[in-house]
Amino acid sequence: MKPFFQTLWTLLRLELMLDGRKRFLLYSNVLFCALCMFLFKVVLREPEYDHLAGMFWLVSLFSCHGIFLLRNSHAHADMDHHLLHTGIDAYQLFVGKSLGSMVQLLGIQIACGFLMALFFGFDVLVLWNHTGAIVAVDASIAWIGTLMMGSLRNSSVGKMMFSLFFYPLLTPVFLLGYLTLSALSPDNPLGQSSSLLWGIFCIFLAISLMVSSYIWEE
Amino acid sequence: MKHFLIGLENITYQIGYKTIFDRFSFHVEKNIHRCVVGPNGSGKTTLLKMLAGWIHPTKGQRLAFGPEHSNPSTDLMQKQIGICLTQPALFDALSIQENFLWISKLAGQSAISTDALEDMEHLGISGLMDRKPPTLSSGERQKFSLIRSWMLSPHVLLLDEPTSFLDEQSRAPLIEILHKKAQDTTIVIATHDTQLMDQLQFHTLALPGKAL
Repeated sequence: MKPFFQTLWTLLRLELMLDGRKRFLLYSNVLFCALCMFLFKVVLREPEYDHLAGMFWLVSLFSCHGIFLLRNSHAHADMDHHLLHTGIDAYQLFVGKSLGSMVQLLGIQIACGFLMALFFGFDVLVLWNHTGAIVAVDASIAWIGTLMMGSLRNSSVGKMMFSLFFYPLLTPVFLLGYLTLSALSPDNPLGQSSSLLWGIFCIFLAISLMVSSYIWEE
Repeated sequence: MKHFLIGLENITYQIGYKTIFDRFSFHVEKNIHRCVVGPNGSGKTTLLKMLAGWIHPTKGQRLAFGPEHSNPSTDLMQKQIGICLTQPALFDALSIQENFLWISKLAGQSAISTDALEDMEHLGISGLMDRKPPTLSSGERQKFSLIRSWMLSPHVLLLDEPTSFLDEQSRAPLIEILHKKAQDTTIVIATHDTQLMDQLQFHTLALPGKAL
C-alpha cells in the first residue's frame, strides 16, 4: 500500500496539471475577477474597508462555482472511476480533488488581492495576516463543493441542483470569511454571531469528511 | 458453490421506470472468459459497469472473490479490475505518455510497464506517445484505452466493444494480445462482433432483448 500522503500529493499534482493545461483558471476566473474589480471601482470609487472584504468573498464565491461546474460532468465521473482502478481509494480521491479545488481558489484569491491593491490601494499584507482563516474557509468550500459535485454529477439535473444548493449551503461559510476580513466591531450583531458561524463551519467540515467516502463510492 | 471472482446475485437494475435487469444472476469465474452479446439496450455496458463497481443494482447483491468475501469494500474490488468502455479512458489535456505515466505513478510504479510498451509496439501505435488524445483517430484512442485497461495487470478485464473503431489490420494483433492476456486474466467482452467471437472462442452469454 502506497503511503497515503504520497498518493494525495500525486493526485493533487495531477488535478492541478489537468486544470492548468485547460487554462480555465486564467481565461475565465482571473479575467472575471479583474472585470468585477473594475466594475466595483467604477461604481464605488472609494469603497470602505468592509466593502473590500465583501468584494473579496463575493468574487471568490462566483469563481469557485465555476471551478466546481467545470468538473461537474459525466466525463469527469468516468475518469474518476478509472482512477479508482489504480488502487487508490475513494477517500484519497475525494481529498485529492478537494485540495485541487482549494489550491485553485487560493490562486484566484491571490489574484483578487493584487487586483484590489491595484484598483483600491488595498494592503495585500492584510490577507497574509488572515491566511489561517482564509485557508480554513477555502477548505470548507472545497470540501462541500467536491462532495456536492460527487453526489450530483451523475444526475441529469446535477448542474442545476448544484447551483441551487451551493450558494445557500455556503452562505454561512462566506459570512464567516467576510467577518474574518472585515473590521466589524465585537458589538456588531454580525460580529457577535461569528462564533456560531465557526460552529457551522466545523459541522460542515466534519460531516463532509464523514460522508465523503460513501458518496464517492456510490 | 463454484469459486468466482465477481458475481451478481439475483439483481434487479432500474433506471427510472425502465427495468434493465430483473432477478438476473451472473458470475465471472476464474479463467472462464465470456463474450456478452445482445441487442442494443439489452444492458451489456450496464452489466460491465455493474461488475466493475461503477453502478450498483437496485436490488440484489454483488459479490466479489468468493462468497466468504461478500460485500467487500469497493477499493478491494477496484484494484483487481481493468475496464475499457467505448469512451476513451484518457485525459484529453495530457499526452499519451503523460496519461500512462500518471496512471503508473498512482499505482505505485515509477515508469510505464514494458508489457504496455510492447503492446503499443504490437498494435503499431508506439510512435504516437507524444500526441494528445483529441489529435488521434478513434481507432488509435481505442487502442491506447485498451492497453490502459490492462496495463496494471488486473485479475478481471472488462471490455466493451473493443473492436468497434478498429480497422482490419489492427484486429489480428489485438486478438493475439487478448489470447495472451487470457492466460492469466479473466476476460469479459461485450460485443456485437461475431468475427471477434469466432476468433476468441470464449463462452457466450446472451442477454435477452430490449429492456423491460
